[in-house]
Amino acid sequence: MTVPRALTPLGAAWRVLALLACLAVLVTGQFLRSNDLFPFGVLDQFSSGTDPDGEVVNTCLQGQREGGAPFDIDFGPRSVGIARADVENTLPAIEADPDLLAPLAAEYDRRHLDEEPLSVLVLCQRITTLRDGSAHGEVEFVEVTRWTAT
Amino acid sequence: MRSILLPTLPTARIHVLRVIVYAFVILDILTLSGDVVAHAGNAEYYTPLLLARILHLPAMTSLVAQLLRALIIVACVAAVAGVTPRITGAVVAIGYWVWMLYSQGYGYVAHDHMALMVAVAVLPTVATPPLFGDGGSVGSAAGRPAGSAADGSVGGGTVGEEPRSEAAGWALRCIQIAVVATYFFSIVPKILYTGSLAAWANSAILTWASLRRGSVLAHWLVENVPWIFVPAQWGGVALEALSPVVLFLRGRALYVAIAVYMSFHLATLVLLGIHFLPTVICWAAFLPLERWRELGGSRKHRRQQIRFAG
Repeated sequence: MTVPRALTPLGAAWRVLALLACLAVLVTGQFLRSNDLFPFGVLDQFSSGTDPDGEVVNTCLQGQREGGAPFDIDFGPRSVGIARADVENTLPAIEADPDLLAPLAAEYDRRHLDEEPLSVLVLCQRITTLRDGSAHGEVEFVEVTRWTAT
Repeated sequence: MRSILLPTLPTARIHVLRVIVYAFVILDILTLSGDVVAHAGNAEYYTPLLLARILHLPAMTSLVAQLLRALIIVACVAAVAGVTPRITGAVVAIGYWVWMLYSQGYGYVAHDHMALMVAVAVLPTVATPPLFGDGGSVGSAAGRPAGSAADGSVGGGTVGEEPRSEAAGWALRCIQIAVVATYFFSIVPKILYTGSLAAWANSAILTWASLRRGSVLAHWLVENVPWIFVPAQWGGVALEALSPVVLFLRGRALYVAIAVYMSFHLATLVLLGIHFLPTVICWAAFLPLERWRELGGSRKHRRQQIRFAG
């Protein structure tokens, strides 16, 4: 037979209050649509529905070395040091100041010391048009902005 | 209400959950949230979240990232080894929360870590007697007499009983609620952003995700059977909206429910490379992990029998 071990009134009270407070912050975060309350911010991953006849924007990076052809570069901590989603959420700032791409080029070069450094880093988008929820037509390539080594 | 928020559950479950959670935290900071080290080179992207601003956390540097990671790993190993688990667990909690504030403070904020962050925060609040000790007489934790345990508990048991406590129950309940909340509250932004759950479920969100980050199988589905995504989206919404029910399931029904949610995560992993592992790990809080102790105990007993027989 086991004997339940009860919490003291104070021990029970702070625990229940802490739990309710966190839930209150979580609910607030949802309606404020705020990520600022992390880890109890808005749970909005994949929450924006996509129009079945809309388009899918795929953000991309292209690098170029002096005299070379453009080539695709992956996002991520093991490539340019930052994830695609981080860059996408900073897009307006990067368009206003393409030098924000400089640390990405520097990180990529640091991981490819045996090769020429990047002379250009292009932030681009590959846009797929949808029709009835399926890909339709050719993928459109759009250059958003570019950083050029000085 | 007390039995819902403060159920009396075995402290042995906390022992096993500590091993699972702290082992995963090590894996997490080395892989999934390992971007903190790389973020040292992206100070321009640092957009500190509210807690980071309150704590005046500056942009991450390479040295601080390495030191913080080392501190968390050492504390996790110590906690798993049972070295003052409440103190080392508190170090993990503080270190890991700071780590995650840096992982998520550079533009994009994911929500797959909420339950894990709750887990590391609540686990140190539970006093636990030794797992394979003297039977774990309740109230003897940390050498205290029954009636004055360090986690604010009162009452006691006798030697040979399985220790249970409301403190353990609260911690487990918090993790369970955090897991469920991760699904349930995600329906709110879906409604706010698209107008209704039906509008979201009938949209092309999985096509969008498949074209952006889908596997070969996902791209094949987009090309050949794109209609399959709408029922899949309805299924996903149903799982999210019904998730609170899991808090009240027991026995076989609970296991079936867990299997359904695991299947959902397996599907998103196969199709989109989205694993949600930090949340998946926390589903362990729903399981009778204390039975691992019985398993371990019976193995120990068998080994002793073999030794005696030899």
